[in-house]
Amino acid sequence: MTKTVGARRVTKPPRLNPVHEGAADPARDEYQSLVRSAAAGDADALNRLLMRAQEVAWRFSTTVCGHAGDAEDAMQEALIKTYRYVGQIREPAAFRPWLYRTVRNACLMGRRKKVGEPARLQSLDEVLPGQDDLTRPEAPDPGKDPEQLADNTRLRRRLRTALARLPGPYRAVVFLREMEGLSTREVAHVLGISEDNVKTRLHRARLQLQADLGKASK
Amino acid sequence: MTTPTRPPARCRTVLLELSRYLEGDLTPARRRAVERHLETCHCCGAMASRLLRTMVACHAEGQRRPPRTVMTRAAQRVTAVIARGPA
Repeated sequence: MTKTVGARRVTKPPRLNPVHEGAADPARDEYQSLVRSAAAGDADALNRLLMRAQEVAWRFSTTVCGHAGDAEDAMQEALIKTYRYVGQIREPAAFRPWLYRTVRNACLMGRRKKVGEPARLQSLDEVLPGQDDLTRPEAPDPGKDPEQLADNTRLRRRLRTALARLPGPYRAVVFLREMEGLSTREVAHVLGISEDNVKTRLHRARLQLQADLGKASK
Repeated sequence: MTTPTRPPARCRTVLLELSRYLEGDLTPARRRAVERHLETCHCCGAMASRLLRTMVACHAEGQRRPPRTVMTRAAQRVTAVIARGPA
């Protein structure tokens, strides 16, 4: 048997573009500018803010609510509330957390308990790989970079299925932190949980997602 | 039925820290320790690659936009609310 130790050294994973606490965030600045102008009566800014809010609300509601009809209702409720609320905003930075909470509440209000949704959070032992998994590692494919893989339609379909299988609290954290790029502190604020709790849920969710994606690709 | 056994203690410690490592959220000392482990442990290195791939896929999913029909229905409803005036 050929000795292969060290022959397949794992390249250090490239860093993603992490959202550091307190770092400049163009999306956040743009939101604040739009909110300020819309609150001052700028109709064009209000229009653009509603468009942005619509996209965010749709993504959140389809990810968190799951059922398409419920998601669309929640999105519309959030949009109407945005329209009514925007003139009263005194602190533009509070808009985004407010929007997420509004969509989340609209989802919860209209949500019907779906069959098959996990009713509890998983322990880390359940989502960490066992020794069997560790001894059969899936080699990274050097021919495809992560960007190309992310663009792959099949991967995205599998990801949506995997997201739908996540317990709701994990899904919300993945959405806010991973998809919307909120900081850990902002996610904690929106969901009313501690920052440590955000990090723990996010890690467990990632482990479960990658495990589901791995199973689906076999 | 086989019962999966737990990973070795060193791997387990690293697996718990992988998310923070990939986000650049570890102390310099822990980051170096994780990097040293990933350079020699194929299993944890593969896991790090899969986690990274998952994170990138989630980022891409965050760029999704609503279908035109959904946007049209929402615009119609908001317009109707605006036309009715303040609640």
